Amino acid sequence: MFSMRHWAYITIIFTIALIVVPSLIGVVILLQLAQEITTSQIINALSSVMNSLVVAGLVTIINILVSIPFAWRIARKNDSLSKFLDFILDAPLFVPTAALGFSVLSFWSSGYYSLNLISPGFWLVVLLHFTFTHPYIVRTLIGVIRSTDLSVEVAAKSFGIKRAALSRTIYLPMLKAGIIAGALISFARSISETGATYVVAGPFETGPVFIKNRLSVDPGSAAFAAVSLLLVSIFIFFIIRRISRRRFLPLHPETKIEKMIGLKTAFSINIISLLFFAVMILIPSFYLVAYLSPGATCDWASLTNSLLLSTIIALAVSIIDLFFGIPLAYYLARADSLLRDLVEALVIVPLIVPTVSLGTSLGYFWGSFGLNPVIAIAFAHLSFTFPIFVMSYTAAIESIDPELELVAQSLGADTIKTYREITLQLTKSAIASSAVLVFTRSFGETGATISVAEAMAAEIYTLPLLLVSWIKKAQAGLIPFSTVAIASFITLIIGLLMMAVIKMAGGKRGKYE
Amino acid sequence: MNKILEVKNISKRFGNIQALRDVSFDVEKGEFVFIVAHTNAGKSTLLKIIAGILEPDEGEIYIEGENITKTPPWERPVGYMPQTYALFPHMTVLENVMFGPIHRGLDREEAIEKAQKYIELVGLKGWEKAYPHELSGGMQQRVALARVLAVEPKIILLDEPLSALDALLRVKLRGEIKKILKGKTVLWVTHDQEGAMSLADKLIVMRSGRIVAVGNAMELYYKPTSLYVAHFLGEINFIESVAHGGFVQILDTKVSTDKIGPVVIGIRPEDIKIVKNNSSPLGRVKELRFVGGFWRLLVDVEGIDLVVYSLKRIRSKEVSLRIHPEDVLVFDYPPEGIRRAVHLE
Repeated sequence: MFSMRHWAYITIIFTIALIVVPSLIGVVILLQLAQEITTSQIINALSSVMNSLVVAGLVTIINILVSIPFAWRIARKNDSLSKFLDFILDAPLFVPTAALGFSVLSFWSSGYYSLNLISPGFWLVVLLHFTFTHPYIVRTLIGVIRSTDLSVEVAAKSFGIKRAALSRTIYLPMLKAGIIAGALISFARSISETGATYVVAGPFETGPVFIKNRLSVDPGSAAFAAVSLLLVSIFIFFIIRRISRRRFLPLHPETKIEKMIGLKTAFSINIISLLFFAVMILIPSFYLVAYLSPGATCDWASLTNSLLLSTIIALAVSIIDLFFGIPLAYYLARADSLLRDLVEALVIVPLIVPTVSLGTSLGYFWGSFGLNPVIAIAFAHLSFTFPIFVMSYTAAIESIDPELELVAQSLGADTIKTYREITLQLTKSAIASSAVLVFTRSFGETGATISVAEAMAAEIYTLPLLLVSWIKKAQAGLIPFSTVAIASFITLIIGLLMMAVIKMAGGKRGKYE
Repeated sequence: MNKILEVKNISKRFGNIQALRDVSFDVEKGEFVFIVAHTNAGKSTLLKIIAGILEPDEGEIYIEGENITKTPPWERPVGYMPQTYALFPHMTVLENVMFGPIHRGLDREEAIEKAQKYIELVGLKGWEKAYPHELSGGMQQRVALARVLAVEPKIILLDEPLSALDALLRVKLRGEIKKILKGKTVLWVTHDQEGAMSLADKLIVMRSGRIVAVGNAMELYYKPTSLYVAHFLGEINFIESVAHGGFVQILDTKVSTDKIGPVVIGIRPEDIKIVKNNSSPLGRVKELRFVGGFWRLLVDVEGIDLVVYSLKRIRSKEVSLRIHPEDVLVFDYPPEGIRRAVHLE
């Protein structure tokens, strides 16, 4: 008889065949390219990888610090500010990464009305990376905070524990899973982002930018950097996982330092985190809108075509992710075996591969089968969205008491009926929010898409690629910046609308939640 | 003999922990069987194996003579109610109770009818449209009970159904459950010996994954087969002694025994009588405590400390004690020592 387990196994085969294997074969292709390179090429490649690590580490750590109070505010207070923040939170993900890079560049550096504070380079890359990693960390944390038991806090307070000690001994360990999951996604996104970083990097080269710059002129160096980045990422993931198993944050009363820096307020509403969100994330992400001027126009036909293409790809990718991701997430959440751990590790691989190298290798791989470039792009999008969906939905299922499922089975429902009537019903909103993540990611992705198109020598303009080409033209003075601004603005509005629709389709949060 | 459930040589291991070792027992039709054990003795694991949620490493489960060891949970004629009740939070009381009948193949109308019948039986008529979180703990428990009953299982498995409730409610509901489940075959798992003894037709005592005693409550309480069972089922005095010439002596009472050498004498506190008779041994009252309904005394007699229960308050500093030989239990002295022999684990 067909059960959830069979479905999960089919999914595992799908995952390995269509997502893991192409990514790995892509790596092999890169390895062959990287065979004959000189020491100076190696040093250059490695220093770019080092840059990526520093950026990703810095961004992730600061992001966690400012995200905890922010997520806490949204999850625990049910007022209109929370609702607004909850809605606007994912917005930076809707700005196609190329446009996002341009927007951040305009805000901090050159351009109209700009602050002219920070020129392209390391710090601008860091500032940029905040904007697109922040939503992932906050989303994950909100999910975890909403599902934690309030009685633990009450109990701890009744022992007369000081706020700072409470934060360290009770809240942080409770949030540990969320912090680690969020940190993993944030780190992975930061280390592999290409499209936006390229715009703001200036002379500074992160690993992916290095790869993009060399791909056509010096494929050996590019391939070497791609493989190094991959290996380093896997190593870091492994370390974070190991650390996460250990107990940290030891038990002892409030320390002097904690009193001094006043962590007391860390978990109550935190002005700094709100300011951070507004100044560092929201405004820079949408600064492009400042270029809007009355009477601005653009090539509407190309814009509509690209919009349609991106929507179709994002929708198709989301649906396939859901179809295969749900059983796989269920399997990862409930199974306890060596195969499970192996599959979990494999699923993450495409997420750590820098999008440029992923796109390039997938382009070569699917190109050798003579696949239609649009479908190849959709496959590439599947590779990096699938892990996002699976990781996020796995966490949601893990928060559902397995006893509910066991009782349903004992009452006569087989595993599929149990999933449909119990687990699915209780995780609807998580599916919707995971789908939003996937849809936005596909809709706005630049780096991998551009590499697939280039590797297959195809003239394809998804919305982000159209924006990239327009930004290039605008920078060359061929078209006014207002053209780019209006296109980005329309993209953003449509993105927000779609997000609202998906969220509503996922159902309102029921009274039992 | 009409055996509903036969558990044969079940063993289960989780990593390094042997949760169940060679567990075998039967439950007969209409019987109320209790498994009592200390926390972590493997009793919940055993229920889950019978329900089909866990697979045993070894052994077989039979229902009415049919081997169901490999049958998936949804095809087993058993009703399983976990400790947490696990009511479906997104369903009303009616939907929760209907869930079983629907999935056991009834059509909607019949399922509603059946659900209503059992909702009424547990005394929740009028609450059909309520959600679990709107109900009190006691009501939630009755919904869980109705949900299990509605699939009309051959045997009902209850995992600590009362542990989430407060003491008064627990005593009240214990009686109610017994009434609701009258005539049904029930296997009830608990760590509450008192509750078990007041309801059980048959008592199974487990320790570290093993069955250490099976019998009816009175029999096990008054004629326990081991120090552990004697100690686990209620307070008891253990006195080290030596048997010779076919006798052991406790105070001035001689008890005949076929044991020779070191033994442990067991005597329940309520079986030691306080008498107004100067010829009986005199003891000094070291401690006096009111424990609700009766008094618990610690009496030092001839250098031996004995716990004695008295219904009346004792005002004197000294009391005379009498023990009847038929109330005295004699056990072989355990090679591991008394403390380890009765250690709860």
